[in-house]
Amino acid sequence: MSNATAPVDEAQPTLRARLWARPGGRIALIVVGLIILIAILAPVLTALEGQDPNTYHDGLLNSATGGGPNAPFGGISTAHWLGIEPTTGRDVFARLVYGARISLLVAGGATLGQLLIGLLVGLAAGLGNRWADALLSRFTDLVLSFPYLFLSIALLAIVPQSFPRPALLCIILAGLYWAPTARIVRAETFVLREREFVAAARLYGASTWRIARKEILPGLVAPVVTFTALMVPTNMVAEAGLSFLGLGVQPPTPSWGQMLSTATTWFQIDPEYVLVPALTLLVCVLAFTALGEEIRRAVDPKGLAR
Amino acid sequence: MTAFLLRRLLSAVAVLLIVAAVVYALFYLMPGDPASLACGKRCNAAELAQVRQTMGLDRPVYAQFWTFISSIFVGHGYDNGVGTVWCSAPCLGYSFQSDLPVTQLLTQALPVDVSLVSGAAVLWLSLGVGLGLFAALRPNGLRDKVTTFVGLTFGSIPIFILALLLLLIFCVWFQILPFPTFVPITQNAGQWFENMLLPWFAIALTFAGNYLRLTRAGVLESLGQDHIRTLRAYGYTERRVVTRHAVRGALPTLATMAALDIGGVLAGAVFTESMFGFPGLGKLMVDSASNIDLPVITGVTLLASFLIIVANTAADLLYAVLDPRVRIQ
Repeated sequence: MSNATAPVDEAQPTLRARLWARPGGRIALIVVGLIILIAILAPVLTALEGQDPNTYHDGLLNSATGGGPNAPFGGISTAHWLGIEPTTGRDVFARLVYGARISLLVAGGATLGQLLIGLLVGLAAGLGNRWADALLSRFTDLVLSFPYLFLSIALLAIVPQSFPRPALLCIILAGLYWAPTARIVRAETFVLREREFVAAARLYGASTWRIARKEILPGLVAPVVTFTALMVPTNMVAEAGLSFLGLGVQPPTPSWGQMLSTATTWFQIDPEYVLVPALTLLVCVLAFTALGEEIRRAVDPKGLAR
Repeated sequence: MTAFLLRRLLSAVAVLLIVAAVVYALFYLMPGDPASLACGKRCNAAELAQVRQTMGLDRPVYAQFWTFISSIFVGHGYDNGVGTVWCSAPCLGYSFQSDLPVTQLLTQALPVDVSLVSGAAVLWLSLGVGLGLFAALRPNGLRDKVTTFVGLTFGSIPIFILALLLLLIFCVWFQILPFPTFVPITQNAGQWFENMLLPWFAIALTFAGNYLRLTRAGVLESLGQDHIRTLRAYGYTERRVVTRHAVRGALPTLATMAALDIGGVLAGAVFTESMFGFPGLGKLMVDSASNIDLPVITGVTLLASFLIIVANTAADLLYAVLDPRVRIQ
């Protein structure tokens, strides 16, 4: 058996190899890899700089500007690589690299949650009987017509602050935005379940759960991965946006969105402080979006599944 | 057609009722007492009970929900501590924090969103469709690749970053435009326009990329069809074929998309309004969320879903009107 499958594997290079073969895919992979590495190595990087994200440096602030950095260019120096935060004097570089952790954690967690709920609902609708499908599809349609942003804002406002915000963000984003995945899964399941191998498994006496896992799920990988890859930057923007509105991650936990939110009151005195989180978030979002697009092209070169 | 409309109307009402019930249930099941929030920290037990009674919180949840739904149609009187305030027919509750009916807060905010969407939609449609046609004239040529790349890149920039960068460039570095504050068009049309420019561009630049992509794809798809071949055989210029005839193929999708986006911005451009400090529905939502002003949160969320549902229905209808192949049965 292993001899028979080996040439097939060679003829169909892995997704990573196909991504690496395209210049755009290679750049996207490298940048995304770097971002993940920075997030993992946050303690090492801040130790190299000799700072931490939560120490106040009041001595470096100018009370005449209401607490802006004393030094020009946002207080950039060899001690503070990207300057210091106005009013508190916390190190911007340290907050930035620790913020990467929150950003990736929430984006990853929310995407995983959306994927799980979407798969469960989609598979149940696609493989269940007529009533289950009707019920679940109606429910999916209903969730699709929810005003997501408004509901997330409302939920973030009423859940007490004692509930950990990053986890809450994951739950809210997953709970409100799984419906598109469920639709795709249901549609693909409808196609796959008519295939001979599913009929064969059914004749063999396989349970619905087993068919879902062993027969349908492998066929869902390509369309679902394609869609999910583009959900990561969407969730990243959602986290940053909600934190920007002051409702997401709360200080002292560092987050890019929350840095941007402080920056809006400061950008006339200290424009450098705006640019750092803004450009970082921008690079991350563009890299993850590019990676998603490249995955789509690599999985589906003809652009059939848009 | 009538049957379709009726069905859509019924399902829209059902969705609105469910959204209302969900929002209402969430607020009253969640920890955190609306009465003590409205009353403030230095509130003794007797005062708290009084507030609870005036807000109607001492009644069972289903009774409160019924009052909420019925007051949309018949109005409701609220006791604000000084006297009874009558909240007339489309009544969506009463904000005890600002001492105003929610409906009044919403109608004050809505003109801001109408202003935002009117200019932004014109901009994003002309930018997106124009550049899409420009790209489609020479598919896969250099200008196609550059235009598409720039359009899609702008489309993936989060709107709050784009707005920040626009503010930084035009108001801080070059100081060409004043820092935007909302001026009603009825007060001063010139100032209204000047202050609307940055928010319009922030919204339009993020949306235009999608329209570019749709226009380009729609045009390229219809270029392969027989009637285009015939037009070319007549000797029409490529420019005329693309901009007058092939663009028709992209029209249904564009109109659908535009209806959805216009509905979305009208429901509240949350980030744009927060960034520029415009007192629209989005800002009202964020502010009432920060103050946990539950009646206002409920009201804005409901109005937003109403506007989004109307936009969805309009999109479906537009598609059917513009694409004769998809007539509704």
